[in-house]
Amino acid sequence: MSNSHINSYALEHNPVASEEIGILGGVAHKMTQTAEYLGTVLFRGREIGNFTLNVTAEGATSQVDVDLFSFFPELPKAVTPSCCPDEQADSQNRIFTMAKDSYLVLFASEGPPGYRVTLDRLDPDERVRVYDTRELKRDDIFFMTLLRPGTYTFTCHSGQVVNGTVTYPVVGEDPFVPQEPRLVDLTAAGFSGGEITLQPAQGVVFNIQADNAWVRAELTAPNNGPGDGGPVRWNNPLNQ
Amino acid sequence: MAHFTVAASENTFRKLFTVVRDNVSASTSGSKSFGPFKASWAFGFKLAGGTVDLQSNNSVLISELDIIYTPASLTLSVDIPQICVGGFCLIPKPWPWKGCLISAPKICIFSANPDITLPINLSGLIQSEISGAFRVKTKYHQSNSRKAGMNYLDAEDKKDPNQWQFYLDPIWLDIDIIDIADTIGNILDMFINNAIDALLGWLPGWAKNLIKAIMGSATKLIRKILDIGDDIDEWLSNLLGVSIGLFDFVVTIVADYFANKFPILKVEDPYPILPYSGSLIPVKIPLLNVGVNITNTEMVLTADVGATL
Repeated sequence: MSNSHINSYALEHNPVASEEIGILGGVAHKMTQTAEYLGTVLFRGREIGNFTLNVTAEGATSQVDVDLFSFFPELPKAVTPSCCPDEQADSQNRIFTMAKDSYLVLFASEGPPGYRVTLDRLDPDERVRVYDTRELKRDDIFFMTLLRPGTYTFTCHSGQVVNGTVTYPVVGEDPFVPQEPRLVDLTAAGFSGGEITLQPAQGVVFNIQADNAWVRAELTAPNNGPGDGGPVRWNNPLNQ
Repeated sequence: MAHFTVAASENTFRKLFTVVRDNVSASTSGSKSFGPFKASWAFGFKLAGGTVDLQSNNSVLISELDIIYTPASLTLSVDIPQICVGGFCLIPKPWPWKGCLISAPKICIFSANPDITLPINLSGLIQSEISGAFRVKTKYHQSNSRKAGMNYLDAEDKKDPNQWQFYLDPIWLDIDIIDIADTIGNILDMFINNAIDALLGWLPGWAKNLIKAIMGSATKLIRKILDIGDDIDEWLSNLLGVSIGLFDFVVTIVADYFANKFPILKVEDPYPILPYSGSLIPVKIPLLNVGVNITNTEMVLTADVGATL
């Protein structure tokens, strides 16, 4: 008897948007100022947890991964730093330490999309809101992994619309490994390059080069594969 | 010189052996973990066929006894690696360094525990044989129901006399798989594909194909996990013989049955000459120094008459 687990939200996640972090889309934010920060995690507008982030002048850490799904109260309070867990994070109290110019990587390993994170700098006399994932900043990265084959539209803060395609998976003898991620620059004017054509599970990396940016990918026409041409009609030859 | 000498021809010996052979049967079951997969099994066997040759060196050569496996069920439980996506590079390391500075996290979209189960019925698919050389050894069997104060007539009345018993004591035994059905590879592949389809069956077609694409050939993947290699016959033979110890089990059972459990011949002691007749008690003679010798044509039994009953 088998007990399989399918991450069904990964198969259903649509649209994939920077304003609502989910399984298929996450944000990497560069921390450029040394300070102590309070991170607030919200899911569909409701606050579900907090974490503390210490950005120091020295140190070699390059990224800290924060799984936003882990902030739901009924789950174990574990976080997933990408390395050196003993040095970076106190998993019980959700305190992270990273070096200046390192990246805070925000993602969700499970569940539906809808996460938003804010960062407040904890100055001696006040809290200063310095970041909100709904408004991406220059040097941020928004990354997505589209799985569902079909036709997509990519939209952004400038109003530009770019078409895209995710091809249908081909089952072969050898394990399929998608190509390297597609790199797209997102400026104040919009997307660099033209149509975005991807293999299934191939990543897209949007290098944000403007403030107050956002990105959204929406499936407009699914591709269910060969043989999906609708019902097969039989015509009565006696009536021909 | 012995008081009695009795000989049984090679043909008679063969008939005696057939009775012993047909009484041999046993079964075994168990399970064992091999890391990425686990095997559970239930095997039973009996013997058939075989040729019997009496040898001039006082031994019996039994060749090519067929081992019939029934039941012969093998169940393999296999761990499939998780199917994950993502993990790609967001920012490469600056020149002159190579590699990735910042990576996207991996997201796992499919996992299973305890993964897939492949029940394989090997009945009729594997054939093996056992051969061996034996000496005939003599044992004296004391009646189990004989109590103190009972005599040989009491034992006869209870139909439980003492006996001289003759067993086949193995000198060596060889066991070998001689044939594995060509279809076993196809059968295994079929089970693998069915198991994967059952695992993914409820997914929409595109998702199933995506997972299958990332997995690659399921049969190739599972065969790799099972460490089958190019020769499935060799793998199965090794799994059954070495890893599970099936052949050791068969050899041990056969050796024990022949050497200790089923005598090829039993002779009552004291030996009956005349039965009860009216008021007359049966006439019996005690046997001593019972011996056996094998030539290339017959088995010769010798014995002396004992002094007391």
